[in-house]
Amino acid sequence: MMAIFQPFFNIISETGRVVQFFFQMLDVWKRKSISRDLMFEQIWKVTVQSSATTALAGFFVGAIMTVQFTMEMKDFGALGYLGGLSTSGTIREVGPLLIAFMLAGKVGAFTSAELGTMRVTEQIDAIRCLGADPIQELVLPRFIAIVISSFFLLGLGLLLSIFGGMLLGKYFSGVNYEEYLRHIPTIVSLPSILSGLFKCFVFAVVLAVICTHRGYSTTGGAKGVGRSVVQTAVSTMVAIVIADWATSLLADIALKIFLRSR
Amino acid sequence: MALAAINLSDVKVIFEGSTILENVNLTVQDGDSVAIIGPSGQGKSVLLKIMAGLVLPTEGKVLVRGENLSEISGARRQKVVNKIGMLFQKNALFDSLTCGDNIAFPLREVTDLDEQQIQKVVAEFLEAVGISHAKNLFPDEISGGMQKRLGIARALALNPDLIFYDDPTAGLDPITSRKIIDLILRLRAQNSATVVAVTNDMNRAYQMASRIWMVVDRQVVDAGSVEQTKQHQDLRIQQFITGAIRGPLTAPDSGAIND
Repeated sequence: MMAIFQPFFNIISETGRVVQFFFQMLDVWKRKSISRDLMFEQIWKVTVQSSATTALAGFFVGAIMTVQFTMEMKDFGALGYLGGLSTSGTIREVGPLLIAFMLAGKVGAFTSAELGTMRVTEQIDAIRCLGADPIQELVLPRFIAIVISSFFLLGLGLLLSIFGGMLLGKYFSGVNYEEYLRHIPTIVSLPSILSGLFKCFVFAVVLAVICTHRGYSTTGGAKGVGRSVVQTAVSTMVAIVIADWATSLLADIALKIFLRSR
Repeated sequence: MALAAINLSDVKVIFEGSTILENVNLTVQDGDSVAIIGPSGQGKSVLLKIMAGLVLPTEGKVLVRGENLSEISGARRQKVVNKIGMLFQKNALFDSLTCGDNIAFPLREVTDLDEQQIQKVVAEFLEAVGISHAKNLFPDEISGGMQKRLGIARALALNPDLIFYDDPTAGLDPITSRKIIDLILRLRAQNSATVVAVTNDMNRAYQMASRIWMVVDRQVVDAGSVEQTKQHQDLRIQQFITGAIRGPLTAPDSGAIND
């Protein structure tokens, strides 16, 4: 009977370990300084690694949103709002989610494999033995880089989605560029932008802590590294979807409070 | 009375539900040179990592120079750890750093030396282990023997007085193995450090150790000096050092060596 519930117990205990690791990271961050060189190197690596795929995906997200909204809005004669609505949808929901999935698939898996390999080849033990702290040297620069890079990538993805939307808007929906751009500032509100940025931040933190934890706690040689990469991919996707639900709920509550206060 | 370099009392290690070591009570005195032998997979490397403070025992106490590494932290722990050097089984060299930077890493992390002084120390260590020409090469660009030398140089960079070698001759040909052991002995003669080394090569163990321990059946057996080990009455030790195929280690019910 207990065997049926075992996967749930495993999820709960793994979540506990991830949270514990997160607080351990924060504790090291509080006490020790992080090398700027290491951090910028990681930010550069993460951003370069994911720019092309994020740009490509961003372009097609804009294109998809435009095609989808065109079908609905044509009947209401509201095609002029196409740019505003698709951009608002992208910045609030699709953009942060897209960036998180892109980062999870590429940077998350890479980070987990990199740290996992360092663990099984005893490089992490060596760092400890040589008087340094592996969380300070390896984990925190990667964690911070993923969080900071996610904002760059969100901006890039958003720009390309607007560009993709404009092109499709012109050649598929018959909305010219000026028309497409005109309503973006009126429809994309400050709460939408804040909500998108908040989601982007939360997803990046969730992703960064899971992939660094999985890599850092790898056991079992090359097979263990493979297992860590798969677990990172699965856990981050599931955790990001759950975080999306939680942040949507929070953003909705915050928006209601904001509107009531005006 | 001087503190023992290392003291293990009633140490037990359980890993993923399996007991790896139990009832381990050992003392390493300052200046000792101990070789740990034993069949593969018996926990020799785990024992070494416990002594180096890299693995915490499930039960029992590990004292390094009188300090319990699992109970101290911050500067106090750092002070003890900085006096420990370790060569890992697969060298654990940082593959993103050059050979020179591998040696410079602990110096940059722990000491207050400026870059010029660090480069001077790096050059001295590279020369001491005979790989000065490899300073700007990356670890994967040098041979296995040179990687071992680099690992030794990095382990000694902070001038530790307690050095652990995890299978320092693993995967090396007999001549290179001999050179590595000669290098370890030469460096030991220079700094009089306490040495604990894991090895399965009995010739190398005899060459470098003043005492020999054998890890078998989750226990650590103190086999004594080299001469005492050769004459030891324990049949498991005799089988291991002679390499006999038949004996207690290969008995059907033995957990030690079973193919």
